[in-house]
Amino acid sequence: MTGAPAHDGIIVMGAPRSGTTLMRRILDAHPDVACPGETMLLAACARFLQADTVVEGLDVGVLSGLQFAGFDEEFVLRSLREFAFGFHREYARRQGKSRWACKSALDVYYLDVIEKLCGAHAYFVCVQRHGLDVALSLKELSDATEAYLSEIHAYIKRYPRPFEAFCHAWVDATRATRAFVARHPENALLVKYEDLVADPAAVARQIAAFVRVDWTPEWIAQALHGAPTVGLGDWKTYGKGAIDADSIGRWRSLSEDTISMMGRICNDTLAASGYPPVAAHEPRSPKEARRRYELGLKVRRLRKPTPADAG
Amino acid sequence: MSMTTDDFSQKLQAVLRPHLRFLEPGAALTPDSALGALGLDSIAAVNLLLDLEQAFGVQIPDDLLSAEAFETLASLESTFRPVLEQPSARDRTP
Repeated sequence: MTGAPAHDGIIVMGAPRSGTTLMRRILDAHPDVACPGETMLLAACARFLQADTVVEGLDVGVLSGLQFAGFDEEFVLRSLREFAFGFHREYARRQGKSRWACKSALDVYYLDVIEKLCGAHAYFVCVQRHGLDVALSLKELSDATEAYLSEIHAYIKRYPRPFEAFCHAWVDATRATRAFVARHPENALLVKYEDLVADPAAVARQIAAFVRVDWTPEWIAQALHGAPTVGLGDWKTYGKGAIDADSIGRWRSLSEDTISMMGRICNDTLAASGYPPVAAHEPRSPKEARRRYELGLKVRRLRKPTPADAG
Repeated sequence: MSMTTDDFSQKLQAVLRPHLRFLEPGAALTPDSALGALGLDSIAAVNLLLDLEQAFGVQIPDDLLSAEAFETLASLESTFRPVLEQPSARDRTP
């Protein structure tokens, strides 16, 4: 390790289903870093700071209210930051570690406020993953839980087709994350999930150098072989004993039309993020869509009956 | 002007190939190639029909649709040739 770290904290950021829980497990496995399950603290702080703008542009919220009471914005932000960071510092202390890290999957949807709160006061490790794989994983999660988390539900309300909603959620999260990293080159690092699973040791070395922790050869092995601390978060990684590339490119199993629709939403952001665009055609005309539907029913009628049909 | 048999087969295969996802690029198709094994499932069949209609400028009548029609290259060709070989809408002169 070269030099003392500029910050004791490391915040993991990224679209939900981008591998942020894997990143949490890797960080937590480091002998100097403690990263609990999702504490939701930063998103809660962001909601705490939300304000409504009313007549004459007056903000009605905590910052404005406390300002009238004599507390300037920087004082409020510092107090709130220390409140949130304090839990993580105390958690690290209880684990006998000197550095803390935090990860909550939905923080990215509050990144603008989190930046205001602590954008310059911690290291950020931002994880990016192919948008169609993220959308597919979000779909599977929603199907399994039979629910949408509120931040994702906001997209479902705007885009009733789930894959369309999840793609827009990914685009917004990815653009916000990339812009954040560009604004904070000194304390924000962008890593690709695909690189992480292809060569975990190489990416971990890069992270260690950036956040200024010692590199140890046992670190990555410990990340998945050790028992993870229990907490809120992605339960799928708890059953994993190895980092593998099985989760890459699963979007290719989707239908051509679904991929095309997702490509129309994601391709610009995919290209900006270093991924090749996916095949996308223009939306079908109503006449073509009607003919497709008609042929779909007629071809389906040709299918030979199976025992399941009789049941 | 109608197409020659070779022209028709080549055009049919050019439209068909992208729908056979298990067919290696450049691999030969023979009359008895089993299209289902090469990836022509029901969704691919719908896409193929739409592409055929667009490429040949005709609408395929319902009575030509049968499970057997999609079994092999030969059955596909013999089933749809009569309608696809008609002068296309684009080729017709007013």
